[in-house]
Amino acid sequence: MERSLRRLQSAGRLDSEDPDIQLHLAITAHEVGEFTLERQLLQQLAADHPDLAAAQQRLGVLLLEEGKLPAAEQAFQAVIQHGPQMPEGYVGLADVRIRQGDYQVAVNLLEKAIELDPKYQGAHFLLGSAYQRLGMTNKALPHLKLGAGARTRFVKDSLRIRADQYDVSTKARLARGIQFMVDRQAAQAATEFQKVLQAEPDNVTALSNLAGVFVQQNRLAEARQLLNKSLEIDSTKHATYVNLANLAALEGDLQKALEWADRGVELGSNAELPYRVRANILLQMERLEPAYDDALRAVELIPNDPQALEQCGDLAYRLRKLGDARTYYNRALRIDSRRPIAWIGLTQVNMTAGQFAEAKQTLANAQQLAPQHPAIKILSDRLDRLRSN
Amino acid sequence: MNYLRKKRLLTLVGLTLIAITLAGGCNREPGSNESTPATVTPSSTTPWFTDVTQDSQLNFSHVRNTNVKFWLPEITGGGGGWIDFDNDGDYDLYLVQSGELDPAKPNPHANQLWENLGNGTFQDVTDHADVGDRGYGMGLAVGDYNGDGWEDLYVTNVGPNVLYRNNGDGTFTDVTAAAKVDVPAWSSSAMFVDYDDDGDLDLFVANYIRWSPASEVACFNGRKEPDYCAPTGYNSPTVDRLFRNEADGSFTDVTESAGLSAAFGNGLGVAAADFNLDGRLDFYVANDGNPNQLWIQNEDHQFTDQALLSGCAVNRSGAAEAGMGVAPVDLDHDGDCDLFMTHLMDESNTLYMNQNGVFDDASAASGLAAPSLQFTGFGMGFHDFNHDGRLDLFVANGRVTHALNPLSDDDTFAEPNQLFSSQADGTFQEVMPRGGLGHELLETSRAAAFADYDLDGDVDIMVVNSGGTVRLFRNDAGSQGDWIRFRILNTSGHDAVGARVRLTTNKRTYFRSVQRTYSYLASNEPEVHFGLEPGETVTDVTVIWPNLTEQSFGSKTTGQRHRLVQEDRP
Repeated sequence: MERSLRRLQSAGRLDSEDPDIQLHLAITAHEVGEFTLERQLLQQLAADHPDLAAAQQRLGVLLLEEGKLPAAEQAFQAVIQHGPQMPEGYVGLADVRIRQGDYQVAVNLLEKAIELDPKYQGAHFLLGSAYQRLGMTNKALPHLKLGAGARTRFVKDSLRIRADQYDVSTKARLARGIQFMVDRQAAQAATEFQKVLQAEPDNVTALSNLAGVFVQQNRLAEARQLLNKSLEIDSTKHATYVNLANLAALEGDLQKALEWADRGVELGSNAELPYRVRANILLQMERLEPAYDDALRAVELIPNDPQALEQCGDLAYRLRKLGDARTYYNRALRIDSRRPIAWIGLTQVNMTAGQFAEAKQTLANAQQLAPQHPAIKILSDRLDRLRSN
Repeated sequence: MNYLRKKRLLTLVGLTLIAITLAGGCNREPGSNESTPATVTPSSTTPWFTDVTQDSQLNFSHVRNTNVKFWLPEITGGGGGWIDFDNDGDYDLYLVQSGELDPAKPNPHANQLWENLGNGTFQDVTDHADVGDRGYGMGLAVGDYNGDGWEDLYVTNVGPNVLYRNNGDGTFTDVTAAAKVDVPAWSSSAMFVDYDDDGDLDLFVANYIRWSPASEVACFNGRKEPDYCAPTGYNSPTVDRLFRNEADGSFTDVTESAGLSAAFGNGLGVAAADFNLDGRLDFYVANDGNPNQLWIQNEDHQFTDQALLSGCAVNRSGAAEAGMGVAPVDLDHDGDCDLFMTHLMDESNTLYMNQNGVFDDASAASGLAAPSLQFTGFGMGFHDFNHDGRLDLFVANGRVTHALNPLSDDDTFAEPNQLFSSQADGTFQEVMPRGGLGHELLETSRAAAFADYDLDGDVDIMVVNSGGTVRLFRNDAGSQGDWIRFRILNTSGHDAVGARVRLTTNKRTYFRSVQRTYSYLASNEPEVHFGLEPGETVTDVTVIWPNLTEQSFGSKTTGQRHRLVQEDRP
C-alpha cells in the first residue's frame, strides 16, 4: 500500500493541480488495485472540476459497483450535462435506471447512446437487457448478441486524446490498421501500415498486413512484392505463406497456391487459418475429401468460428454428407444467427433432402439478411421449379 | 459458386492479418495491494472459525509442479472434498494432488484419502483404500453411482479421469474403463446428478481447455517477467461432457445427442438446479473468460444454452468474466435458485438473482461486489455459519499471476480469504479479521469444501491451498443459535440433488436445495442445513422433488439430523 502510494504521489508531484494528472493518478490507482484511493481521487476531482466528464464517468462506474445509485446518477448526469455528445453518460444513467427497474426510461437513454455511437457494444448489451426485462425477447436478442463481449468503456480524457494524436508507436499503428482492415476500410488501413514501414522497413507484420490490404484492393503485383520481401526477412511466419497461397489462388495458379498452403500448415500446425486456406484451395482443385479433412481440423482447433463451420458445412454438402452439413451450418447459426452464408447452405441441404418447406423458410431467412446475394435468386428459382414438379 | 469461393478467400485474407498481430504476451491480472475494504463489520471478540489443521493431524501439501514452468495447470489445481466412504456417519476427506505435470515423467505425488476418526482427528488411509491416483489432479465428484449404498469417487485430472468404485470394505477399485467415463482432456469440476430422473446418478464433467505441454504459450507480466497466461490466450475452448448412467455399471456419453456440444467454453465451475422451475434439472457452467452457459433441459432431455437471454452469460456490461467457482442458492427465499460466482481480481464476484428465469446482477446492491474487486475468488459457499437464520458467505481467494505488489513475501499469489455476514436487510458485510479467523491468513486458496465434520450441527470448512497446506476451519460461531439438518434421499436412496426443501418455522419460511457440487473443484456434504434463531421451532418440512412433486414430512425437532426419503412413485 505504502509503496503504491509513494509511487502515485511522486507522479502527482508532476503537477498536483492539473486535473488531467490527477485523473491519471486515479486510473493508475485502479490498475494497481488501489480502489479506495481511486475513489478518493475521483471524488475530489468531481468536486473540484464538475465539468471533467472523464472523471465523472469513472466515478459513476465505481459508485455503481458499490451499489450507490443516487451518487452514481449524479455523476452520470454531470457527464451528460458537460458532454452531451458523449454516449457514455447516457449508458451509465441507463444502467442506474435498469437497476431501479425503470426499463422504459433506460431504453430511451440507450437508444440515444446508440444514435451517438452505433458500435457501442455495452449500450447494445444494456438495451437488450432492458428489452428482455420488458418482456420483448425478440427485440432483446439481437442487441444482446451485438453487445456480448463488450468491455466497460470510459470517456477519453484530454491526456489520452492528446496521446492518441501524437501516438506514433508501431503497436498502436498496427492495431489501428488491423481495425481498419476488419472494418473493410482498406485505404485507411494501408496508410497505417505504410507509416509503420516508413519507420521500420523490415517490420514483417506490417509487410504482410499491407500485402493483405493490396489483395483486398486487387493490387496483386504489389502484394506479391511485399510478401516476397517479408519472406526474405523472416521465412518462418506461417501467415506470410497463407497470404501467398491466397494470392496464387486468386491468380489462378492452384498448384503453387497449394505448395504455399502446405508450407503454411507445416509452420502453423496449431493455427486454424492455414487449414482453412488449404481447404479452399483443395476445393477449387475439386479434391473434396482432403479439403474436408482440413476444414474439420480447422474446426477442431477453433470450434466456435462460424466461418470455419460454414466451410465444413459446404464441403460436407458437396460430399453429400447431408446430416453433417446440416449440423455444421446449424452450429454456425447458433453462434451467429445472422449469417446469410449458413442460411444459404442450409437451404441447399434442405432442397437436396427434399425438405422444401424447410428450404423455403431458411431461404427466407437468408433473403432477409442479404437480399442482394446472387445465390438467393438462383436458389429461389430452383426451389420454385422443384416444388412445381 | 465461384462468387462464394472468391468471397471466402477474401475474407480469409482479412483474418490472416489479424492472426499475425495477435501473437504476443498477455498479462492477466494487474497488481494489487492491501486496500481498505469498502464494507466491514467491527472486529468481533470471538472469531467465527478456528484453524484446527494441526490438531486434526491432517498433513497434506498440494504440489503445483515439481519444476515450475508457468504452464497453466500449475496455477489452477487444488481440489478436494468430503465423502463418507466408510458409512460411519461422519465425513472423511479426499484431497486431490497435482504434482508432476510433465507427462514423460512419473508423478511422485498421489491423491490422499483421510479417514475421520470421530475424535477431531484424521488418518491417512490412502494405501489401504487404494485411491492414490497419480494423475495431475484437479477436482472430484462423490456419489453412489451403482446404488449399492456406498459412496463412490470420480477424480478429474489434466489427462484421463478416474472412477473409483467403493467396495464397501474400506477399499476401492478403479472401474474407469468398464464404466466408460475416461475423459482424456483437462477436466475441472464434476458432479453426480440424476438429470433424467430415472433413479440413478448420471455424471456431468466440466472441461477447461484443450491443453498439452506443446500448446503452451509464453506470457509475461507487467514487469516483463514470465508469468501464467489467461486461458483465452490458448484459444482452445472445449465442450463439457454428460454421461448417462446405464444402470449396469457403465455410462454412455450423451454430450452430442443432448445438445451440449453446441457451445464451447473454458469450464471451471458447475451447478445443477431447476432454474426455470419446469420440473427438469438444468446445468450452469462458469467459464473462465468466455460467456457462461445455462443449459436448460427440454422435455426430451435435450439441452439448450439460454444464458445470454436469461442474463447470466456475461456481466451487466456485456463482458465475459473469468468464472471460477459457482453456487446455486436461494438467497431471497422465493423458491428458485439464484447464482453466485467468483471471478478474477478487478472483476467483482457476481450475484445473479433469479426473477422468473431471468437473472438480475445484484452484486453491487448486495454489498458483495466492491469488497471482491481486489481479490481473485475461487471456492465459496453460502451457509448460515452463525445460526441466525441467514445465509453467510465464505470465499477462498488466491491470485493467478505474479501481481505487482505481493501481499506476502513467501507467496506472491497469496491473498486473504473472506467471510461475509448476512444482514437483516439482505445485504452482506465483511467480517474482520478477514476470513473469520482470529488472524488473517495469506495463502493461495482454491477449493473450499463445506461439511459438519465434527457432528456438532454447524458447518465447518476445508480449504485446499495451491502449492500449500490444506486447512481445516472449525466453526465456533454456530453455538450461538439452533440448527436442524436433513439428508434428502430419492426412491433409489440417492441424495436428491436439486430437490428443494421448504422449511416453515414459527417465524418464517426458508428454501434450501440439495447440493453436493458447488464451490470450485470441491465436493461438499449432501445434507441440507438450516441455522435457526434461539426459540425458533419447525412446524413443517416439505420436500419439492426435482420433478415438482411435493411431500410434506410435518414438524421436526431442532438440534437433530433427519433422513427424509421420497415415497415410492405410483
